[in-house]
Amino acid sequence: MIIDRINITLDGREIEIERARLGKYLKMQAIQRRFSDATKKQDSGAMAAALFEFLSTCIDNLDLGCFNRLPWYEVITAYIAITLLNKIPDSERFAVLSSKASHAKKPAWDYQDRQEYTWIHLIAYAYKWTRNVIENLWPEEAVAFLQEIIAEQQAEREFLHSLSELAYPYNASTKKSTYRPLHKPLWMVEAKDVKKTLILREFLPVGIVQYPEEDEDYKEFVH
Amino acid sequence: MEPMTIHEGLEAMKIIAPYALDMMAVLDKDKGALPSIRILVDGCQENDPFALMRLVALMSHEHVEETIERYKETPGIDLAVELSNLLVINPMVDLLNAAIFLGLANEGLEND
Repeated sequence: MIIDRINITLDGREIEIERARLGKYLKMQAIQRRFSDATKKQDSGAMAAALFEFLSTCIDNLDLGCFNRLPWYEVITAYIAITLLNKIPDSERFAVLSSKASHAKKPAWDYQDRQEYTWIHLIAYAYKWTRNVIENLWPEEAVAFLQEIIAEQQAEREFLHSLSELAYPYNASTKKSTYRPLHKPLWMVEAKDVKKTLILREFLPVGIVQYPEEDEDYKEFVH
Repeated sequence: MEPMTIHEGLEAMKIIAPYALDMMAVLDKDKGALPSIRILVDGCQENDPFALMRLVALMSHEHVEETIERYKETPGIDLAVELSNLLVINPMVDLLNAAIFLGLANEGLEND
């Protein structure tokens, strides 16, 4: 069951936060990327600024002065709760999300937050929807549409490639031309492994573990 | 004493981050937080003693110079005991978990 709202406590008041639609979700993704960059540089000022921007996206009228006075655990708890609320449900079913990140070189025209504009561009280009309609999608719907769009674009490219002589390179030693298919993106090729989650060794169960027999999630375990 | 603000908290997490996983490993509800704090104190004294003073200053809302002066005037203070008192107001487990969740202390995590 998807949780669509939570209550958090900040500065003594209880605030209801709703799950974000695509527009807000993309803004939060961009901020979290900036937060991650600041963490790598150990820049606590930039980290705090990113946290304020993240919370301001979800909480109306959040004052900077008030934010600077809040206890650290309230801010971090709110950040974690909102992050978990907005995780894409069952994201492992989308191959485009679950494969390892590409390490392709960034193009010369890359700019900050480009990924967020790319999402909207791809969907608008494919379906001719307006930005408002696209930003009102749920994130999991947008990911599903994006996966289909990219898969269809790949199928078209493969078809066009198969019509070209580039797909049939001539081998001088065998004196034959053999078909060489177009490369697929990694997420379309590799088998969908279960994403490994890093957990502390101390939190792993020890001894004989009793798995619940009735639960569907554990049905393949030996009882 | 008030808990740290977010700016102070993030600086504190940067200080404890290198020791966070080892500190979590020895946390025991029977023995309390002192073994964990000892790891932090011993680690900082070996690698960066100034960081320990900064951590106490951050949690006490003081400048580092004021904290150093205070310790000079009362040399008998056990740093680990003072830290354990300050880590009651700034819950230590939450501080460690936050450092790990925010990605400040992710080296050493393994998948089993």
